[in-house]
Amino acid sequence: MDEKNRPLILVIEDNDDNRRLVIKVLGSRDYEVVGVTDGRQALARLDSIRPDLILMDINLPDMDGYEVTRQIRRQKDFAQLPIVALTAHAMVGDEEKSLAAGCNAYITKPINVRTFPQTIAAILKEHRS
Amino acid sequence: MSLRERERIIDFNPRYLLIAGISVSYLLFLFAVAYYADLRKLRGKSLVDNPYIYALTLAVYCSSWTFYGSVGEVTNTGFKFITIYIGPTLTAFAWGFILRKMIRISKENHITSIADFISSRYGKCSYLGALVTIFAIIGIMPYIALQLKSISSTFELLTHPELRPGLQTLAAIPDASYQGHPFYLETAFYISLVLALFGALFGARHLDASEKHEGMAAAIATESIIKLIAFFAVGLFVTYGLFGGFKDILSRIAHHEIYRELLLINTSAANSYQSWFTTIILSMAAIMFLPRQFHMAVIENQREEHINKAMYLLPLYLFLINLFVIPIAFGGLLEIGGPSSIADNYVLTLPLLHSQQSLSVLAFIGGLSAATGMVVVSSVTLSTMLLNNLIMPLLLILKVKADLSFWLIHLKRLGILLIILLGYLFFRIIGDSYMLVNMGLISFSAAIQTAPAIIGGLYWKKGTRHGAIAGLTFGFNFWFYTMMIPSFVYSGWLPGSILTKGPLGLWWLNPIELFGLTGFDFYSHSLFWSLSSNIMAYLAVSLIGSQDEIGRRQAERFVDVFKPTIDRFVQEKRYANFPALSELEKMMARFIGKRKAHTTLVNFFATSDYTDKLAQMNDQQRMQLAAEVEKSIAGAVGSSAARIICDTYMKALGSEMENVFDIFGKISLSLEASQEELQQRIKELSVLYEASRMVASSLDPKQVMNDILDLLVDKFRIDNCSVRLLDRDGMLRIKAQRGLRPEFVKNSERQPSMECYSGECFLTGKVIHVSDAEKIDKPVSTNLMTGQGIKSFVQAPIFSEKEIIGVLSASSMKEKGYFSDKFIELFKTLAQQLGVAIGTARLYDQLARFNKQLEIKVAERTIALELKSIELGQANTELKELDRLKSEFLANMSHELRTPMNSIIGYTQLLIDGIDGPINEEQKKSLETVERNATNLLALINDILDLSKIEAGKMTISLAPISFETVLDETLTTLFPLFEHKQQHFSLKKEESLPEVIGDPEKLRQILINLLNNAIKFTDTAGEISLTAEVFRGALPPGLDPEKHYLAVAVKDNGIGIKTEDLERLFGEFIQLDASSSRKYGGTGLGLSITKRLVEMHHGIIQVDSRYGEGSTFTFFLPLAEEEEGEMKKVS
Repeated sequence: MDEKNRPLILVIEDNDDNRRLVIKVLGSRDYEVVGVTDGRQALARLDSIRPDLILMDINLPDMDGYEVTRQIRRQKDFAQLPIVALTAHAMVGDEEKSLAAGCNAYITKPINVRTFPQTIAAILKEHRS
Repeated sequence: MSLRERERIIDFNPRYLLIAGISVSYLLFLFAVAYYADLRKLRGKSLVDNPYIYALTLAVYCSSWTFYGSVGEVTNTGFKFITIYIGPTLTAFAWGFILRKMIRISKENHITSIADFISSRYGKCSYLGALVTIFAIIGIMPYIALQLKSISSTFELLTHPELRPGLQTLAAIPDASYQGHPFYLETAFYISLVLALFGALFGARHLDASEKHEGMAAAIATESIIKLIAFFAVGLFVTYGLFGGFKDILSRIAHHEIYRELLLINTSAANSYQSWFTTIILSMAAIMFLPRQFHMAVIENQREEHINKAMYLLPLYLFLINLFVIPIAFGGLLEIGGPSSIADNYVLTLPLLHSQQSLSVLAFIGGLSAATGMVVVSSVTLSTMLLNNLIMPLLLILKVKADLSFWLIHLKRLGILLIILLGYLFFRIIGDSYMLVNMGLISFSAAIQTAPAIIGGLYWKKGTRHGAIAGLTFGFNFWFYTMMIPSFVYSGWLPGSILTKGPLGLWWLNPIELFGLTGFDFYSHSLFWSLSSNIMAYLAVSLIGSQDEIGRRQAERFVDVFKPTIDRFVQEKRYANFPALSELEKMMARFIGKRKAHTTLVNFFATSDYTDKLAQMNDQQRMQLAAEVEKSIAGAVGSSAARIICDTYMKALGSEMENVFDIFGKISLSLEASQEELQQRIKELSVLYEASRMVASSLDPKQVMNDILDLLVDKFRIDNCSVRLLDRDGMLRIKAQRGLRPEFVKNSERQPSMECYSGECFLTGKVIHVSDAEKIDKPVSTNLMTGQGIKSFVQAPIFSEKEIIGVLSASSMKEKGYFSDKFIELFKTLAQQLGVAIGTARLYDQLARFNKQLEIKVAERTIALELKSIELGQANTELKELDRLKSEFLANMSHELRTPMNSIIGYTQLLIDGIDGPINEEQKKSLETVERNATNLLALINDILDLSKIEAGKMTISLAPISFETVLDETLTTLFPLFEHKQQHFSLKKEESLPEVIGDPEKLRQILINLLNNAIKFTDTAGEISLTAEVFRGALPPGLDPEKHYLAVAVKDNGIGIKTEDLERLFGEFIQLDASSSRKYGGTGLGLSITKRLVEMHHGIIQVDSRYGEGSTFTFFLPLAEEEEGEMKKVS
């Protein structure tokens, strides 16, 4: 697959292990993956990165994922950007909270490495169409 | 027989018989008139009921003293005689008020005589009545004698022509000459008897002296006409027969040397201005206060309005009868001459001198009329006075107990006879003395002594009994001393030195110059002393002294007789133990006869059936009845005697007058005013009461009771009063009191019984009034009452609603009969209001107590509730906090577990999948073990979270009609790899087109996964697993709604099965039947527990049927959607 045509995924994850895992899983498939550790970095670099999809951890330092999502949504350019909440918050109501903050999808940890890339692909595909 | 001896002796010469016959015929004529008048009265057509007859009867004033004496008087003092008639004329003008008042009073009080009038006015004082009677008899008796003498002497003149023309006068005959003849030979004696008979027949026809004697009045009126006609006839004869009219006679006298002086005034002491004045005054009084004048004017008066005509008719009569006095007198002087004793007979002697027989007989009849009229009326009057004011009181004092009704009438007749015979006796004894001749004015002087007492009594309420007694006593004594004593001297019975040197030589006691008073004529001197001392004594003693009850009452009755609507029975007294009506009737009958007694009662009650009326009468009515009874008796025996009779009789019957304390203060004005005052007071009381009642509604009963008692003490001067209330233990106790001794209060405590008055009052609910505590018949009460010194008391029940709760008592230590009817009425009301007040107060008290209890209870509950609420709130907060903490904990735990699990599982899978490079088979197996255990751990975490959610009620389920088939298909798709993995055979049996069920797809999926997972887990490789889904048609197991239809889903395996004893706890938490199975089969042990709860959240149930070693069947039921029912039935 052409380097330039690979979708660019921004992973916002403060837990290094989990960020690296996602990068590894997606990077080993047809995705370009950039990882940041907090919301501020993400917001600061969003314009330069211009991802095709964001994987958003919710439990982030300083600014939680909901707030980061809301701030991204306020920027015109990223109003339609697919944001997928990837979180260990798997309690009742957590999914709704994420969607309300502006996420397009909600995936609970732990992820299934074998199915995860397909899931992302499905979301991207759905979004493009 | 000498001339002197034959005088006045009955002989039977024809002339004597003729004159006697004429006289008797005339008297018979009068009898006939009187009888006819009485007859007319019986028929109800009164003959005398008109003002003319009334005026004529008043002309009884003109006695023989007028008929003969006036003429004689002219020869002495000229025109002065006219004063005797000027007086009455002047008085007549005042009759409109004085006489009318006397009449009204006398009628209302059944007055019988002037003595009775005075006695009645001054408290029905019998002493006063007796006093006046005695004085009247002394004053009048000689006057009667005078009349007898005139009849007797004129009779002699007519029957003995040899005595004419009068040179041998009566005066010329020595007194001693009478002594020689026995009285039964004297004409005068028989005349007296005839007159007495007349008086007895017509003056004492009825027992009731206050009733009219119409027959007598008619006879008197007739006589007045006769004497006027006679005198007029003689006058005309003398003036125009013998002379040429008035002018002729008067001019002759004017030219007569001696007699012309008679035309002048103030020629001598007897003709002085002073004496004119005196006689006018005396005659002014005489026309009213001579007993006979009083009788005719007041007692015999038919109607008050007759006064109006009599006021000018009597003066007219007096004018007419005196018209010819001057001509006759002067004519007599010119024709006959001689002293006044001869002149007295000119009326008779002038016609005789000129042989006018019939005229002289007419003149004689005229004189006879004048004399008999006076004698009859006076004797009747005096007899009444004698009987009522002297004899009756005496009889009563002597306690003569006989049926007096028979005796009274006869006593009265006897009295008349006695008076006339006394007059005759006087005539015999005194003879032709100075005194007899001047008896007219002497009587007048006596009569005027009653004037102060009467006039004062009519207009001055403060005139007292003692004042009247003092005045009369002084008056009469001075009268006697200054008039009678000199008369005795002039008559030769006392030494003349008395009048020259004074008695016993004491000059200042000279009866005609008393205390050195000179310059007055004889009558003026006497009048001055007697009347001035009389008036002074009356005024002074009245002003100094005070009156008793009855005196005050009588004064009011007399003075205020014209005050409108006066209830003259202002209650000041009342009777304790009023006698039975039959007793009263009996008592009255003794004095006035049975018939009249009965009529009196009939009239009083306005019904003849009055026997049972007594009980209905109040004190006032009883007083009225007693007064009526007394009055009716007074009509017969006079007021003072009647009073004594009633008092003693009542006493004898056990009935006593007792004072009614004037509880409402002195009622001094008319009762109208006092009634207003009374109403005002009652109003005040009501207001006061209203106030205290209002106070009561917010205060305790004690306060109310005290207020009322204070009110009683303050306003009614009640000595002691109390409120008894019934306590819960059934004892009547004094709760509040004023003026009672402590031992009384202590001893009064008892259960209500009829033994004591308070008990009786309490039990009967009636007001009890005892006016004399000495006469009570309850021994228990007697001790208490007398111990306390109570004289009278009243007790009224206190009602609250309709229940008697106590007794209000008041008593007096001052007086018996302290409590009047009016007060008792008020007292009753007070008790009622007290009851209301106490009731209200008690109710309020109860309410307040109840309220308080309620408040306490409410407060208690509130506190308890608040505490509980706080507890609950706390618990709730705690629970919420706990819940929150738990949720937070679970969320955190979940999060904190998942985060590392993400890395564990993720990296393991990466390794296994060889993304970081190839690994050998052994390494791969190890990593797969890691992955499997990590996944199990994750499942456990998920189950725990699910269960927690269910337990906390946080598991939300959204039930809706859904297609079970769709859910089943999706679930089976995910599970097929597992069947394949264990090479198990799975078979699905379901009906074509299953109906929709009510469910939540997610939860149903979880149920299916759990059950199928278990089947896979506990069934060996190559085992058989089946799922059956069908609409259940058999008998529904318990726990399901029989009205609904269910889908039955059964998952069956031929795995290890479950032991029967383990089936019960199969659905518990963390159950894996064999501890080792966990290791062998994996799983959290929460699966079935969660499944069961999920099924139940669908309103379904789950069952298990299993045989150990053979396999298990789990069946769950889901309710079908209702709208599918119809279709479902079609299918079936």
